[in-house]
Amino acid sequence: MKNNRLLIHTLSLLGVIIIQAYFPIIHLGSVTISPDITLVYISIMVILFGRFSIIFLAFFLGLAQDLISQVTLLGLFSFIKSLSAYLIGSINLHESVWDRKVKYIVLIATYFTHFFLYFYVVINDNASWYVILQYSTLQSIFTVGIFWILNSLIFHRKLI
Amino acid sequence: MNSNWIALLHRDAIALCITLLLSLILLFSNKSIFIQALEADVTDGYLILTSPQRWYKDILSTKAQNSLLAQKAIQLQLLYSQNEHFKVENDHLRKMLNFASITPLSLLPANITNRHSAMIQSIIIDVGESHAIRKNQPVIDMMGLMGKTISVGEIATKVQLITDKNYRVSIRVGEKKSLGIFVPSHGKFGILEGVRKSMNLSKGEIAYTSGISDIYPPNIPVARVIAVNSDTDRPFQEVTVEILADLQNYNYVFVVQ
Repeated sequence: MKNNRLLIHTLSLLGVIIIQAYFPIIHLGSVTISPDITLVYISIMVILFGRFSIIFLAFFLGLAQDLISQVTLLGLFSFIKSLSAYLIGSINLHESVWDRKVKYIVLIATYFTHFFLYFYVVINDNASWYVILQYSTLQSIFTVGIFWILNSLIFHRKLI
Repeated sequence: MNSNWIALLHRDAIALCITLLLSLILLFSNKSIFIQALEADVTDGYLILTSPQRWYKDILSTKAQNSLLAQKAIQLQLLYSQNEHFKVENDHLRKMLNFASITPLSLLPANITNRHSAMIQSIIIDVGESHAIRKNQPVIDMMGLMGKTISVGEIATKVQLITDKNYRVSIRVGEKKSLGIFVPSHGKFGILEGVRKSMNLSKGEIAYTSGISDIYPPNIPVARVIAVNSDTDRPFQEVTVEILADLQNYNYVFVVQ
C-alpha cells in the first residue's frame, strides 16, 4: 500500500515536471506568460497533506526548476516555492476556520507574492515596477485559473 | 490540542527556515563546482525529458523546410520559363536584326509598350519625337505592314493598326501591278477595292504598297490574296486578302524612316 502511494506520488511528480516542460507559453501582446504548474502541484499537495513535508518537496521542486531554468539565480525558485508552500499550507491548517473566499484570497495573495518576488529579482530594474506588477498579476491569474480548473474538475471542490 | 497545533506550526516554521536558508546559500554560492556539476546533470536530464518535444519540433521544422524547398522549386521553374522566353525573344531579335540589315528601308526598331484599344485599334511604341519620329510614318514588322504613326509624343508614339476600320492603303497586286486599295474587314482579313476584272489574280499573290501615297514607300508587303470573285455586276473584282503582319504575338516593330 505504501509502495503504491510512493509510486503514485513519484509518477505525479514526473507528470508535473513533464507538463511544466511542455505547457504552452501564452502570448498576450508583448507579455509572455508561462503558468507555473509546479506551483499548482505544490498548492494541491500542501492542502492535501499539510505543509511540513511539502515545504521540502517544494524546495526540491524549486531547486529542480532553478537548475533547469536559472543560470545565475540558482536558489530563487527553491526559496519562493518553499515560502509559497508554507503560506498555502495555512489553508490546510485553517480548513474548518476559513471559508472558501478567504482561502482563495490567501491562495491568490501567495501566488502574487511568489511571482512578484520572482519577477522583482529577475527583472531587477527599479524603473520596471509596472512591468513587474503586470507580469505578476497575469501569471497569478493564469496559475489560479489552472488551480481552479483542477479543483473543480478533478477534486470536485474538495481542496478549497 | 492547542499545544499540538503550536508544535505543528513550529515544526513547519523550522522546515521553512531550513529550506529558505538552503535556498539563500544556493543563491549566494552558485559559482561552486558542486552546484555547477549538479546543474550540468540536471540539464542533461531535462534534455532527455524534452527529447519528444525536440523530435516533434524537428518534424515541424522538416515540414517548414519542405515547404520552403517547394517554393524555391517553383521559383526556379519560373526562372527557367523566363530563360526559355528570353531565348525565344533573343532568337526573334536576331531575326529582326537580320531583317533590318537586308531591307533597303531605313528602319527604327521600337518596343510595343501597350496595346491601346479605344475607338480605333492602336498600339503604343517606345519611340517618339526624341527619336525623330513624325506623324504618318509607316510601321512594319518582319512579315509586312502593321500600320502608321498617328500621334507622336516625346518618347512614345501611338500607332494606328492596319486592322483599324478607318485604315486605307494603296497597293499594287498581280503580275501587272494593278492598283487597288486595301480596306480591312474583320480580324486579320481585308478586301482589295478597285482591282479591275481584267486582272488575273490567283490565291497566294502578295499585295504590296504602291508608292503612290506620300506616307508609304513602295513594295512593303501588305496582304496575301486568299479568295477572288470576278462574277459580279460591278466593274471590279472582289478580292479577299489576309494581312501579312503578325497581329497576334507582336512585341517589336520597325518604324520606316
